[in-house]
Amino acid sequence: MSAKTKGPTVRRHDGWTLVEHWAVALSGLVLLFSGFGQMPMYSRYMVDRLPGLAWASDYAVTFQLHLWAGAVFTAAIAFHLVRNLAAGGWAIWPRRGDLGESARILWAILTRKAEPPSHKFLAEQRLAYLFIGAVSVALVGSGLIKVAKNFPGGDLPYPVILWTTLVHNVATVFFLLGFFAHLGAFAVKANRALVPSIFTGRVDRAYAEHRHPLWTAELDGTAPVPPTRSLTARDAALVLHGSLAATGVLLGVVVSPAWFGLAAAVAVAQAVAGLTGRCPLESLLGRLGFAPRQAPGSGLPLG
Amino acid sequence: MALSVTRRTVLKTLGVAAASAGAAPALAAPSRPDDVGVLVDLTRCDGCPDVPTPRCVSACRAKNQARYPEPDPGEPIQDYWPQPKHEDWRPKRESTATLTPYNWTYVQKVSVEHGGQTHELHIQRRCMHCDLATCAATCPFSVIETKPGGAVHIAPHLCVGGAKCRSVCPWNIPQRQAGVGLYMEVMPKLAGGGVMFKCDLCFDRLAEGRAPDCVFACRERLGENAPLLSGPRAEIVALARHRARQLGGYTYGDVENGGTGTVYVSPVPFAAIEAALRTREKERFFFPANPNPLAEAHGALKAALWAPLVGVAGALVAGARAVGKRRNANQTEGGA
Repeated sequence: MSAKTKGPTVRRHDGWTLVEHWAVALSGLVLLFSGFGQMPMYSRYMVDRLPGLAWASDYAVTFQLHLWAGAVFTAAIAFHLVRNLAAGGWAIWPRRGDLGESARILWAILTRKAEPPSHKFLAEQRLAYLFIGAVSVALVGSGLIKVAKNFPGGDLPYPVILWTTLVHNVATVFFLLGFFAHLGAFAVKANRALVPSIFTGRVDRAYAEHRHPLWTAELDGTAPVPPTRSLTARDAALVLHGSLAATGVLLGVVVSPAWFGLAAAVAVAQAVAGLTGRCPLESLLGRLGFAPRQAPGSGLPLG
Repeated sequence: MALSVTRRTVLKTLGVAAASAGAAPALAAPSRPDDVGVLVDLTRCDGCPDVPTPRCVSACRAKNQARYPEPDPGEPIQDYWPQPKHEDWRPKRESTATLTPYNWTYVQKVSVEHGGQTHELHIQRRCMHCDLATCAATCPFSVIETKPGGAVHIAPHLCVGGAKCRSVCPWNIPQRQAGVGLYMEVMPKLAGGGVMFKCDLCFDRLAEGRAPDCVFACRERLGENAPLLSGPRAEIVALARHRARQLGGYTYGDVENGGTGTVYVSPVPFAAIEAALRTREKERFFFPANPNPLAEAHGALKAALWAPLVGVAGALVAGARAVGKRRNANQTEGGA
């Protein structure tokens, strides 16, 4: 393992991935601290007596912090999911057989034998991603419901509120476990060569060839690149329409019925687009880069 | 025997109010107008001088006796580690002069100078039952429920007694008893602190269409002249404002903390009552003029609701760029 040599490097993460990672990581830390601050503990356990942390036991402060950090976390997760679904090539999405393969890799690490060759991500990285992803989606979903109920019109049946809070709190424990496991992975020496990649986006070429030969072969063109599914401009326009309508309904229910107008406007625009066969949003997204119409072998089967 | 107040009674009592309603200033209306509201008219309450304990208080105690916390008498209650203290109200179990886990309403007595006169006020104090209760909205385990009818209720079997509700309550109403509840089953020394207790507006009686027991007891004595009256929240608010206008008096609770289910009518400004209470060294219950803490976070709450859309829209732009780049690359390679 030549993690220390200054050899050639290879790009592992694009700029957006780094932005997503750090947005989730930093807002996630703020969310953990402010979220635990919403429990009555920083005063009792005297965290607020630590220098510079007198504000920690002020519920109004941690409440605002939690909401703003939650907005960043939510936007980053929505961005990450939709960007990967839109562009295709989601290399970290789990594959069939990942459980068995991750066991073989762990066994190889423990017995200091050669690991089976990996793609861009190890099987356990893909599984860890699914775990923290599912937990994060549960946190965002329950968090949004908890936000909505704080508006005067957002009255929800009490069992819904009770269960939503339970999901939020239990998911927080899993998030914390995932976070520690993520940091703990770097206790394994074989993983440490990956550390620079989350700052620079690049990883040591020799390391990649040694541990991820299936990926470097794809990069070199000696192995076929798996077909990527990316959205067409029409698919992307539908996603945006749906998101606008959902936001209109959400705000209409909890903030002011005037927001239903947003959903109604989207509905009218969609009907007009269908009848005329022209959708300005679709043209705009096409001009930005999405394929103007469904090309064979690309696009999710959205119709 | 039902002296409970129906919508009709309130409407009748309102009488003239409807006629003069046009002149009323545009004030906030309750967000759930049909929830139960209680009017507390301080111009009418004398604190029941003929009996040792005001009737509203003894009625409450009689009804809720069986629900008071009963820590195991054989087991000493542990401190809230690392704090060298715990809240045990058992020695004051019989006190009716303040709010405790064993007394969910009391009559606060205060002398207030106003307009060259001294007013001896008797003020029934208890949970206000906010329209959008800060305690219910921010309980970390959501064990506080706003019942149909608007009664704010703490589930005694789920509460672990962190007392956040008391900290966020503008009136510091919920009271904690250590040595009981769910936390005793987990790590009683390290986490939790007991169970929070307060008035639940007799939500069981409300569900049967009856008035809370304190209101019932008050009206049993004084009938139509009783200081306490319950009815639909919107009508109680309207009646309170009407009486205040007639008397040249003041209301409290109709707009405070975003509006509550308890509206006081007073012959003196509540700032004057507050000032008088603040001169007391050991007073715990005041009449603050504070805004709704949730309203202050309105911007952040809205931002959180917009966040998913912002993420989706941004991702489509970024995703389009990536797809476009790849298509260009494929084309320059001759569509390989």
